[in-house]
Amino acid sequence: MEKALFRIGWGLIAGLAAFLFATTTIYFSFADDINFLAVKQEVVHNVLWRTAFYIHITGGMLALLIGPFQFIRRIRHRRRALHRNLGKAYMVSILFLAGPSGLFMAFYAEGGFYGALGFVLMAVLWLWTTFRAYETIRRRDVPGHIRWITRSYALSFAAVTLRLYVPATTLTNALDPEFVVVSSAWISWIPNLIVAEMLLRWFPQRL
Amino acid sequence: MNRKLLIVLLLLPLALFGVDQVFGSATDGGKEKKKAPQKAEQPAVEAQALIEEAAPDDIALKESEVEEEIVWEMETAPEKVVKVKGGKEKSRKESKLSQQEQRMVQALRELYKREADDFWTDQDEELENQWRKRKRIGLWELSEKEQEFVTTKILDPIRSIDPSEYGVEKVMSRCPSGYRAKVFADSRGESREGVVFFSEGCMDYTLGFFQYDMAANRTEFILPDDLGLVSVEKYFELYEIAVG
Repeated sequence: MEKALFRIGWGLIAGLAAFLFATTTIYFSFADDINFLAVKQEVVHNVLWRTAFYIHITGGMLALLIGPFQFIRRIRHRRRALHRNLGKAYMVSILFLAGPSGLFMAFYAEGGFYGALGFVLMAVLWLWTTFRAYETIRRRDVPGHIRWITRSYALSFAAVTLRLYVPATTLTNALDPEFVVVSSAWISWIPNLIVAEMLLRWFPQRL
Repeated sequence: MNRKLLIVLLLLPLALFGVDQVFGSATDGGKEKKKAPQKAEQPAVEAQALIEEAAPDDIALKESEVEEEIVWEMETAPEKVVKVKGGKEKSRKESKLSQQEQRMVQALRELYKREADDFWTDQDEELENQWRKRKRIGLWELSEKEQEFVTTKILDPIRSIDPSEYGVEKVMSRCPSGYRAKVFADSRGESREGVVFFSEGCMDYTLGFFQYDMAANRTEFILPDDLGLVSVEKYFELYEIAVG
């Protein structure tokens, strides 16, 4: 039962990540007035911001897609080289691409000070947890690596949570859109981290 | 990779942000910073509010800011944004309509055209006064019972008809596509009025105006040009013919 639930959960996470990967490709048309860019017209012509945006989505898409495969035990045990190479790609995509560019973009986030603060904190934690995952595996501390990489992916998955939370609250007219803008900077990642901590505490053998 | 590099990776974005703040004009790609369109509702109301709130000395300046914003919005207004189900079947359907229904279709076609072509120009003063200048409140500001009523009686039928036929991939977004409603704050008493719009890519496009009476369990859509009231289903049946 527990195994089946974890498989369903993994499938859901991988499916949503793949879905977001596919829908994000729309931005590679490089049009400056589509979806998210339509509300960022104040900065969309800023070379630094625009460059950071494309770096961020490229790195983020990679990390989001690679992540679920790193949790498959069979790959970890039988295809170590593959796991290692995918892991390197995951780390690079966050530490050198999506993380720093996300942190830069966070300063321009919607929702004023608290909106920006939420995204800044998330970006810092994303870089920190990913770095710790790297550090622990370099020391061959596998349990420590599992803990930190789980937290790191929980933060990577904030991209999905954010895109579930916003439509769930705005399309149902449940909350004031202005509140949604500010709260999404926090609700997109804090519950993910809580779930990750719960999994690490109660089901460490499954990770 | 060591911790020093991590610190660099953390400080680099901050440094770049600082540089951008100090030398912002040098990094804007040669283009002027433009105001975000935000939600596409009531630009005229916001403009008026700005003017009213301003001290007399500020008015000239604020007016120019508002004008700039409207001009920019005109420039960036999409030519045609609300996709609707189309097909040859619709022209066949239209020919079968009564004269009154054909007038309704024509009125809806004009409403759609206004939305698609000159939503931003503020040229249609009559419509502005009638609908767009009225303060709107979100459903979250209504009582739970009223929220549920508007959702089940107005939004749910529209969602099942889906006149804009947006794909599910557009829902999972920071700017999710979908149907939303707002109620006019000044409509009180037994019957309240509101507007339903389609959100796409962080922009809202008006689909129509409705009125409802919870006590009588009645919901109707208001046709433009004083052509009367029709049911939600009828309204969107005509709407699809009008813009298909």
